[in-house]
Amino acid sequence: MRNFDWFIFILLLCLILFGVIAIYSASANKIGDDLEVENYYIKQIFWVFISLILLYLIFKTPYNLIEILVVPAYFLTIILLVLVLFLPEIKGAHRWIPLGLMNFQPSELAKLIVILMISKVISGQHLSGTQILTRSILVVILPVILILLEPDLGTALTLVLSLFAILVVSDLPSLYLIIMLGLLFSIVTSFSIIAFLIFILIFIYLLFRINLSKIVIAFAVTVNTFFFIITPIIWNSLKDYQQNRILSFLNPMRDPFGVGYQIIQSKIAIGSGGLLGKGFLSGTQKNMNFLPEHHTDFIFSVIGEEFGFFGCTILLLFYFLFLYRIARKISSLKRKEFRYASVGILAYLSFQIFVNIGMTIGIVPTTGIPLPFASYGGSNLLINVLAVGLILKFINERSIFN
Amino acid sequence: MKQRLIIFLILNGLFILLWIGYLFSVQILGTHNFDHIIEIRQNPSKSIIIPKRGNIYDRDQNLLVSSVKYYQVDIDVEAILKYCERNKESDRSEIFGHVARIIAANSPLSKDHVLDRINSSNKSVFISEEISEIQLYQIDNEFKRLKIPGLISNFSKTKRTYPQGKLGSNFLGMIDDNREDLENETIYTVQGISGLEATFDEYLRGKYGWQETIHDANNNRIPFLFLKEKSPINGYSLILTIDNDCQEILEESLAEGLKKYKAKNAIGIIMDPYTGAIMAMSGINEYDDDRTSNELRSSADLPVSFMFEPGSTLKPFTALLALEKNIYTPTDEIDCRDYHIKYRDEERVIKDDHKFKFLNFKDIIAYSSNVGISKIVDKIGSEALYERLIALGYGHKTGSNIAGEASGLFRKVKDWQGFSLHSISFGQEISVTALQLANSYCAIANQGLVMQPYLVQKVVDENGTVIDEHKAKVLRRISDKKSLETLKSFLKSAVDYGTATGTKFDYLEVAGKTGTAEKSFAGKSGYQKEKYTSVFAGFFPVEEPRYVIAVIYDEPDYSSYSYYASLSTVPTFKKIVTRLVNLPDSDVIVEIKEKEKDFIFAPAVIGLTRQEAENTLNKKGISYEIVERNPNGIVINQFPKPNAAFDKKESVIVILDTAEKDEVVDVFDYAMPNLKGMTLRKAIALANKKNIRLVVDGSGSIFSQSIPPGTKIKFGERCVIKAR
Repeated sequence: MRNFDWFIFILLLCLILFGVIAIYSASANKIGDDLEVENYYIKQIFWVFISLILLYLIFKTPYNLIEILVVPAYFLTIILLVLVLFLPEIKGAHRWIPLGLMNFQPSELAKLIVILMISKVISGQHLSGTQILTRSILVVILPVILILLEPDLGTALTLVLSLFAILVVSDLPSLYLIIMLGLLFSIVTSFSIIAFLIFILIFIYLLFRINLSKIVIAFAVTVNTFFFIITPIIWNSLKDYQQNRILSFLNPMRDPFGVGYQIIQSKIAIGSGGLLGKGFLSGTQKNMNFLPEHHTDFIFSVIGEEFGFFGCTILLLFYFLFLYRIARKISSLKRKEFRYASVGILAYLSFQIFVNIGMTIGIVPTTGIPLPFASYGGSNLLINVLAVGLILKFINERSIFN
Repeated sequence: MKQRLIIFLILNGLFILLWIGYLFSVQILGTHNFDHIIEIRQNPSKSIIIPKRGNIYDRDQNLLVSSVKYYQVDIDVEAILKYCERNKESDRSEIFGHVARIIAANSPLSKDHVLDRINSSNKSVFISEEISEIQLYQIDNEFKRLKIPGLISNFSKTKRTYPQGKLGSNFLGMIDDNREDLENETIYTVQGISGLEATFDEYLRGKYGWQETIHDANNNRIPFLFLKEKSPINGYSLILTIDNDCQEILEESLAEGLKKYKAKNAIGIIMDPYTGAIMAMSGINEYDDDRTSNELRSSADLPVSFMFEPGSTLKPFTALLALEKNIYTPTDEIDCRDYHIKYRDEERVIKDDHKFKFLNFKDIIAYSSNVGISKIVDKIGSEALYERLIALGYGHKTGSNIAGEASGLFRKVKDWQGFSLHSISFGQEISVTALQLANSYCAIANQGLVMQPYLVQKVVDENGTVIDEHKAKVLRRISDKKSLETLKSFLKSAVDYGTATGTKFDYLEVAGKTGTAEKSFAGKSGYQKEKYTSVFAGFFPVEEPRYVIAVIYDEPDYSSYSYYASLSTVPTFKKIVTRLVNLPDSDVIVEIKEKEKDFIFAPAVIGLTRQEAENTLNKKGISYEIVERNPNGIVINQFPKPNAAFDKKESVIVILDTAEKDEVVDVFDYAMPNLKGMTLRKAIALANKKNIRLVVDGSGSIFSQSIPPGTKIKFGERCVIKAR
């Protein structure tokens, strides 16, 4: 415990506390002097204690044991992900396994286990770029497909992004990263030939910079061009309602009473908060139930409405400090496995934070991603705290080895 | 590795800055203008608040007319289905069952009907638009208790309710409701169209209020505190001079008489001679039984609109003039044989049905001699008689402010013809209303004051503050005390031994005058055969009259001699008087009751079957008379009322009829009663009736209550009372 990073731990507690306060407000319904509070915040506090106990336990467990458990845990997760598809729907998706008092979400577990699994399989010595790529993709592909089937786009995207983040810090040559990003860009720029041409020129320049053979460059350019051409064709072959669904996903304002309703209400809530907010418990959008899911995915709108720009900025700074401190600490980790896992965790936490907040202020499509440490939800909180616990453990192990 | 992490950190920092920047623009700069969206969803809209129409009470604050708000209730089936999806343990058919049960329990709808409705659609279904305020409250409560969503209610209409049924339907009048479209709002309006409802519409209707409303995402109203509101001003209530009990007695007696004497119309009026207050007023038409209560409420108010020739009931006024001028003393004998009068070339013979030879002045009134009164009026002259009758209120409206009042027909003296003077002296060539007749008898009873008759004594707002009040108003004074006292004795002798002995009482002094007038053709001269108007006007007790009563039968049966006043109106008058003095709270004969030992208390038979009622009465040895409106019905009323003291010699009248299922409407009285001084038990009973939740502190009698008396209370409000 000598090298336990208290700073990270205290920041973590601050974020959780912020979350509990926001959940209390979100589950309270104050009209005039009438105050009705649902018991979400009590459940959340219960989960906070469970999570902190597990954090302590995992901190005390020798890493060797955890290492041995990763592979069985990975397969167990796969089994659970398959199992959940055969359970009855809850809120229109096969995401939860009902366990009496609570619902367990295997995709939450998958995030952590998959990250640990990737770190394990690519941290071996002398692996070629292709090996790293194939191994990690093999680990990720099955869970991602299973999660997409639930369907849970947000979690699937989180996994893909975590993989990408791990690959970025791994020994993978830049070539692969550039090519992977290139594909994404060629799809995005397919709406305009000029944008595509500018992109493809920069792309060729970058490939030349890393001294690739002309054949490989020609091949990469051809593949990108193919994607550029095929995207509009696929788009046009979609039915109107399918196109609409995608467009509304990307721009909710297209459909203010459907998909966009939540976003608009959330934006109104945040916008009406002003500099200092309407005050604790006094958010009108929340109290009038205009804000859907305000204790889970849209907890940030409650914070924005009741604590204003001031409160939002403080929360964002806390998140930044938290991520910054972790990033600083893990840059000096010696074991590859620890580094990869920590980066994966860091990536998924920051991805969730930015996507969730971006969603509530309407610049990112709605995907159903909760705000780490703040949103109500047992399994989500548990996994996030465990992930932070693992990072704390990695940091601690480093100092033992030194 | 380190390089890539730094890039990662920079990216994170950029995101943070971007998000903060965006938040700044949303929260501080407010560049994202959502005004139009807020307007759709959240901006206050104004809604009109309908005022409550004023109530109408009788003189003892018994409710005669009130209003109940009705709501349209819909069930949002979609919401219930969603609720069932969310709560796995709640089964859809079980919830539907609950909904149907709750609504059926609190409305006239059947459970199956409601179930059919709910099962008919997956969206919102219409259930009923006739759910009263209280029913809605109870339904809503049950829904909340079981946490069932989907109850939608909207104001639909207000309805007048009549806690006393058809009582007073002729003068109360009725309302008409409408929906008026104004710009983009539909306003519900209620207007009085007949009777008091029309005359006092300005007072009763109240003023509209408005309120800003905000609806939440589920379209539920949000009770925000800062919303602007202008409360409606509820309509003022009328307190009438009508006495419920008197009115009931009058209506019952007239209805009985109408049937018995086969008259076309039966009209009656009871007045307080000293104030001119109308205590009861009723007019019944032979076809009224076939009419709905709404038809009755919109039909003409006979006591003020029906005109008839008063016949001999007008004689006392001629006699009064003679007494004033000392033309005759009561004992002066007058030749009453057929009287031949000549005017120019015409001759007219005035004669009496019953031939008299010589009668003294008093007996001319007592036996109602046309010849006698004609001879007297000869000495009075047209001018004096005309002026006196005008002064008494004939020929013009009485100023009573009752809708549809007629002024009667009374020609100006310059238009009188040769025999007019004599005709008018015994009540021909003049048409009067029952109100005019009763009011002129008031002047005899009250020592010569012609009062302004009135029906509304007070207009009060909902807190009981008096807005307008009618003070007894003397219109004119006539005659002198001595002459009036003498005239009263004349009228008493008509009852004691004259034409109206049918209404003689051992224990009560009654005075009055009969009248049997041939009916003239409408718009023509001459009289119709076998068509009469039978009239009686009188008052009691003679010493200090409390009640003036006029009873009129229009065209009673000729063949059974019912057209003679002494055989129709006089018995009815007697019935009315008997019932009045037998009222539990009547003090007219209290002294007599104390002296005489023969008075017993009437048993309660209302609600019993014929057999049960007969048994009860036989057991007590009370004679009775059964009026069968429906031979198989139950006892719906009795005279005297239960527990009233009455002369054992009188028989109890029991009325059998089908138990009328009158619209039973809970009338919710919004005023907090005064509980101070009451016993706990009494207070709790009263509170239950008014749906107040009492929190009791202490025991014994109550000395303090948390809601002051007269305060407007909410349904089911809590009130803390202290007792010691």
